Amino acid sequence: MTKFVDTQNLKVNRRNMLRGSLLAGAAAAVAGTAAKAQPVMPRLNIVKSRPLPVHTVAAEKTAQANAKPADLTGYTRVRQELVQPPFAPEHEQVATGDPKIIEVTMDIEEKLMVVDEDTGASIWALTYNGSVPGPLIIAHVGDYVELTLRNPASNAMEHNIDFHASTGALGGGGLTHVFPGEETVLRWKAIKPGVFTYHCAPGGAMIPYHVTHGMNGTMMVLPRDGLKDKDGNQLTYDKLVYVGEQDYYLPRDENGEFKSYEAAGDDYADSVDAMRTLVPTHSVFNGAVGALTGDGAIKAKVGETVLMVHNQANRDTRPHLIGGHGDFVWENGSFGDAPQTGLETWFIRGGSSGAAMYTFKQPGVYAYVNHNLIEAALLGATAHFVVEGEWDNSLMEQVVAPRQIGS
Amino acid sequence: MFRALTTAFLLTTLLGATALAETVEVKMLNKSGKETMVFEPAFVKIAVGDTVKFVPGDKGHNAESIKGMLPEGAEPFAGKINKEVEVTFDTEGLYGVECKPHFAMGMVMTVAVGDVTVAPDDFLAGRIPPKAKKRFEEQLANLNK
Repeated sequence: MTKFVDTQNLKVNRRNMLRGSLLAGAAAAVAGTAAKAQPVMPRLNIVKSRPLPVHTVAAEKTAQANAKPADLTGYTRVRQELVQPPFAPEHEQVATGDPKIIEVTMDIEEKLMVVDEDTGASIWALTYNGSVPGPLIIAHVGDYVELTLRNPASNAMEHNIDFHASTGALGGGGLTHVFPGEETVLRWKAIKPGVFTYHCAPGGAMIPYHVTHGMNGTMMVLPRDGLKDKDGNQLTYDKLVYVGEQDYYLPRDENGEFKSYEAAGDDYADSVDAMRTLVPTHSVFNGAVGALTGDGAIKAKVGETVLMVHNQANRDTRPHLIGGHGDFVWENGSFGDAPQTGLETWFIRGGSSGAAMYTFKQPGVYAYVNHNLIEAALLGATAHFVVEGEWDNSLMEQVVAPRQIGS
Repeated sequence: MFRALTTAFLLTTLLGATALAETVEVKMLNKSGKETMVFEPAFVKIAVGDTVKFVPGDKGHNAESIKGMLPEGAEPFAGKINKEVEVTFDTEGLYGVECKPHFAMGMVMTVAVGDVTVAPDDFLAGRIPPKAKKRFEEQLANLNK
């Protein structure tokens, strides 16, 4: 086979490696004739039954245009209404019926958010649907996810989305660049079971800039027959709690105070400097210090089983449930692997989601933390579960309340 | 002797041309008046062989040519973020220049090189963010002035 790539003119440098169009184009060129038989990118505008918005990105259509359309016969369409974290959209744990096309819509919103009320630290957050993290999306293996991504004209920046759960075109990043005022539709097939990060990746330094401004979340792909332990026994949960851990790198002024800015994007140059330190000023759950404590604490009952889904798109973390455990833990996020059992602390690599299942056995307050306790106590990585129910003395009992020694 | 004369003549011509070529300074700024993320000036008309020096007045900016918005045969260029860059324009025509990180925010400028009075039909035909497009249209209005 002849080589089609002119490597001299490709200029694959470090920056270009992170840019969508170039890589996708290069991949198509490498594949050569094979690109026709096996598309590098799925075709966008194929479903005839539902008119797609035409005001979409004129993505590079080279490989796509020649590719065979996906066969969607037999698929039914369902709409998934996304909800704000820490909640999960309505979903089945065990899929009924044949694989579906799950339609979701995400509106990108650039908005000023308070990160820490005590210090007044704030950020012009970049968000999917107005929340940090972005909403949890849930599908089953074999389903299609059909995302309409909208970037309203009121925004200032270009955005896109890279689904770690998807296959090809930089996770869809290469096909979803939208400028303010544009929308795009991407359909991809969920073929890997697990919880996966998604995030914005517009290119170059804008990638960490967008990710550390809140533009990330979790895509959950359940096995069709639900979750199982290592022996194949069904595992079900009563409640799903979705935690997004966000590291922020907020610029400070010469007096050490956090700087404030007039509009989204104004902090770009300062942020790049702050990010270069690799030391976050905040590491918080669900957007802000204390978002999941006090009024925001998560409620549960003794005997309830909770699936804790944890996303960290950028940086390693180590969740720990103080006073409890991870009964079943998929710390690397793959539901294709048997869960580990009885863990005290689990490790979630930056750029991934993980999940842990626990059945509460005692009432009271449980702190769910990043067990780098400096980050938990000083940077904000703490959530609370408030659990109702009967205390079980057979598990723990205060035999002697604190008293003077020797009394 | 003839060779020496020719060399001398050539040198004079070349040096003379260099001495005549101008350098125009363009600042890259977060803010100018009410406008944010701007090249200043945003429209420059120069002669073939002149140079534009892009100066980072604020941090976080660069200057690079936009794909599809430069004359045929012209060499694309891309400055580094936060770095001053000088670009000599040897091909006559119209050039669209962007700050890569702030393209969607409208940080663009136009460089007209030589005798250009009309923009090519397809100059604004590519995919340009709305704010950048609006600014380009304002800049192109200077062509006939």
